[in-house]
Amino acid sequence: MNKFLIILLLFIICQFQLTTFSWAKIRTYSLNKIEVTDGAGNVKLLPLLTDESKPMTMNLNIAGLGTNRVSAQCGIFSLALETQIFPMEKHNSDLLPRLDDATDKAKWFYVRHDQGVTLIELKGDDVKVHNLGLVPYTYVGKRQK
Amino acid sequence: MKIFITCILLFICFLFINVGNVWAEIRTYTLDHQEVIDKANVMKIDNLPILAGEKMDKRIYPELIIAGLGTNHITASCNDIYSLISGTSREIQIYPMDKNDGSGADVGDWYYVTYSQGVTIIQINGEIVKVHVLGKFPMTYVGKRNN
Repeated sequence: MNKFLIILLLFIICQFQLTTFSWAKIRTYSLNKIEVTDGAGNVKLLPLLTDESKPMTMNLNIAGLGTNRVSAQCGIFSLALETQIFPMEKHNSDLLPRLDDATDKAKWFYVRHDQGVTLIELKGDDVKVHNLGLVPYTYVGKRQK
Repeated sequence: MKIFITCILLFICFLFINVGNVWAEIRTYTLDHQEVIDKANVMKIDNLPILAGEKMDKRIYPELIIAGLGTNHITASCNDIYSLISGTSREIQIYPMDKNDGSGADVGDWYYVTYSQGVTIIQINGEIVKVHVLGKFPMTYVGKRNN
């Protein structure tokens, strides 16, 4: 009977450990700016506005960072439903040129959709959502504390 | 003897079939325009930036070469785009971006490669190619197929 109880306890502890490790942390970012690039390569940040020209903020939720199944949800076409996003691994970083010592510290994820590609660039507390294809834009935001 | 010759012939046929399968089609594109998005979020195709006060010479437009489309090892090489070159035209492997299930408009095949300062996306839509450079120096090059 005692042995049975010990095994049961070990099983419960094991389950608890598994649950703890598989817990997917959720990060929330506020997107409130839009990045505009002119032909000369100058980058400007403008406020994200509604159709009535009022400032607007959108929330981007990302869950599962650090696991092999990362998902994102945001009020834009490609991420309107909770969607799995795929990491873009740095396969060639050692082979490719480095213009200066600054290397890209960002983590990149992508999702394909019917109208193109959406890329999520995470760099510390900063986030950029690049939409390429039929409706290209770049939204910029910060992590909510 | 007949069996030996038949075997040799079969072996040559086998080699030929294999060579046929691994043959990588080479496509070349000239990137002579750029895509610009203005404040009103309107996209337009513009000429490449003017260098030293003069229009860019056609001879020095970046040329993008892509080989191996349809295989599982696709390579790209380009002169003049910093994300794809290292001073000389160097071949790099590019990776397909798989499409999720769904239907609707299709805006081409997408490939990516990461580099030390960001990500470069290659969008191939028929005869048109777009190279989206994201990261430190964002820019979108637009070009047409040459061959």
